[in-house]
Amino acid sequence: MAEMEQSPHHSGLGLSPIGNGWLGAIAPLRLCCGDPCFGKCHSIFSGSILSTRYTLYETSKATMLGFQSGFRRLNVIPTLHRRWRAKYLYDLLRSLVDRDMKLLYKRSMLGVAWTLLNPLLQLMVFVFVFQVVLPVDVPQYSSFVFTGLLVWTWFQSSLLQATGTIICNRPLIRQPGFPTAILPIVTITTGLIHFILALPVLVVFLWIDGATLTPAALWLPVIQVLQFVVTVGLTYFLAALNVTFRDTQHTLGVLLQLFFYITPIFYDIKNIPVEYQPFFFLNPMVHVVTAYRDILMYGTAPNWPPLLAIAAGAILLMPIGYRIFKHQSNRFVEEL
Amino acid sequence: MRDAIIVQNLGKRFNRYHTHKPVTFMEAMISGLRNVRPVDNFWALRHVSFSVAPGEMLGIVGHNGAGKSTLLQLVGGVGSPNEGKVRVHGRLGALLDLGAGFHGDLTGRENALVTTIVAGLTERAAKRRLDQIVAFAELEDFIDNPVRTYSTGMQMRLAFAVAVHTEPDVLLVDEFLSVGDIAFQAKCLDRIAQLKSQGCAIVLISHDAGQVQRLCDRALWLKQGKVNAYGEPDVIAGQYVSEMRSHTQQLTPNRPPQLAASGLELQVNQNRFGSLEAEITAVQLNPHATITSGDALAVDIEYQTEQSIPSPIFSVSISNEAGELCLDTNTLDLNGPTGMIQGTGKLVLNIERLDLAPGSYFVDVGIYEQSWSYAYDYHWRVYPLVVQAARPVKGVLAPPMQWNLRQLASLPR
Repeated sequence: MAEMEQSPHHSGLGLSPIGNGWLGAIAPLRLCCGDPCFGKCHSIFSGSILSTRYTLYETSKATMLGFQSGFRRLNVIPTLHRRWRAKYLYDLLRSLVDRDMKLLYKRSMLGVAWTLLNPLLQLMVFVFVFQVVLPVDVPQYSSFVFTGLLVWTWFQSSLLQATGTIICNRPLIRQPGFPTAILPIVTITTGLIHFILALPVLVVFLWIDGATLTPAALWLPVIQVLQFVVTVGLTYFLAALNVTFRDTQHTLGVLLQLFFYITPIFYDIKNIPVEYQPFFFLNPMVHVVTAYRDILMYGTAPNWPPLLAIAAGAILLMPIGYRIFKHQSNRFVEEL
Repeated sequence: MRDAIIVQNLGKRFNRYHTHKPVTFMEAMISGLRNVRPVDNFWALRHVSFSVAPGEMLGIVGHNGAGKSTLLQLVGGVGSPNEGKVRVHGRLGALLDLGAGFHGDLTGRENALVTTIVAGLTERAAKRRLDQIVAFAELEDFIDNPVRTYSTGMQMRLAFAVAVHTEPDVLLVDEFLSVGDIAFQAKCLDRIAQLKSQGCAIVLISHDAGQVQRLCDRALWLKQGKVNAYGEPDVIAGQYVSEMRSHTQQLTPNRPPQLAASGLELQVNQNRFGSLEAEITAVQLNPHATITSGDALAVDIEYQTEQSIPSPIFSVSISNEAGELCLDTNTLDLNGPTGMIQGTGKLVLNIERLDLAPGSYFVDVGIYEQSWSYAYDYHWRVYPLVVQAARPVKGVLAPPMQWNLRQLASLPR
């Protein structure tokens, strides 16, 4: 019953997770209106604050991680089990992504067209501002900005949404045997689908700007997988942090807004004075965005060394993030 | 046969935090990281061991906060124990927070499919069972409507149907029998019995000892996180109920006898039980304490309480001289929670007609704690009621009735 209560203070927090600049528009529309769990998650949030005098958490470290999944289905032949498990996880991922997509577009007339409308409107604003008002010297500017926008939109919306993934999915996490770690992957996959749906439009822009696709464009899935892995790694940490500090999503919105400016989305890295460039290269998204432009616009192979370093870092951090994520999601459902 | 669930020496510790533990970065910064560490910890469960064989049903009884739900979660693999081991063989199914995962904008069919897959079935298997699920939930006509148009009962039925059709090897059930109407409840029980006969191991949480006694093969009584008793359901249920009563007796303070309106003396622990946190100050039977069978009867209850009491349950029962219960009703079943009471007040139970057989009865009146865990005040055999009738009737009921005799044909002589 307590979960029904909503204090005005917290619902305010729940409804504006993106920060308050005009850049808020970059997050796709589902963050503003369609996200099914915002309503639920802030009510759980305020409910737990209003109704419990003490908050109770488990004390142990996640020491028993292996043992829990290990004992299920001991009676099945291991290899068969593994194959069945992979098939099951695939089905689960598909049905959850399918559910998310349906929820996003169930009540909207334009449906999936929204996905395109949003970056297109932003593109119009950028082209006007940086070609007419303050001209920036970047050739093929529309394609250049649109590539950056698609990549950044996927990154930002995935991070923001997946950060709330633990506290929005209590019933799923409480389901015995549910692989909690799949939740951020569902969100990121949904974003990827939107990205892929927008690709034909990007091809049209490239054609208008006179860029020709070369075999280098075949690297696209590889770069996407790389971005996917980096995003998953980050979201495990962020979602876990959000359990302890419920304003993580809010703070993240502000930070991402800043990072949007220091990532070359609407300007070229070459516009930056050389003495500042090394600092920019510390931002992994700079390399990712550049790689997309290399393969799609310039038809060259991506600059592998930094990308490989990023991939290695993400893969190394993944198990740690996963453990913390698992631990925090357990802790969340155990709160009394 | 190998046990489906083995729990060995299970222990779970929780931290207790300061009331003002910061929940946001902002608060944490402002408070200078004070109150972020736990102030204390306690064992919510400790030294719990049991096992459940396939086809066996274990009932867990205990008061609120005894650790029942924590135990069920740990068996379900949600969270990790601090001590001991849980082993579960086979696929787990659960009847917990029924319907909590549904999305209002999706249709019943879409929700059922996703929930079935989430419960552990592959998409093909889930699609195969969908018709069965819909038929079981009796929702054929509504299944393609959005779930937000469903009543709570319909949602519960769908959620229950999904949970029992995932063919689990182990089923965890948390206080489920408030699903739908009586007919559907019977169907649920049937289905659970069927699963059990197919070899599903079931763990049922309940604070109704009678339910555990009726359904389970074994019972476990948890008290403050420890196993208080483990064994035959009849024995455990008996112990549990009698302890609830003696708990009420212990709480009953000593008090000189008072005179009730009926002229009988109210004596603590003889005809009056309870903690007296709330008191029944007067009970009056209207229009009279002597009525004719079929008349209306109103029971006026006046109460008084110093402190405020959340949602107490008022109960009235009528029993005959032999102690047989003829009528038993309470505010929770009839109206739902009463809300907070404080100060003095009056509550009236209107019985439109009382078709009791003529004889002498007692009206017993009580106020109980909101989860029935003990009585605040209970007056037993204090208020007599005499029912008169023009003609004698044996048995308990004397409804309006008549014999009609009609001769159809006379046999030829």
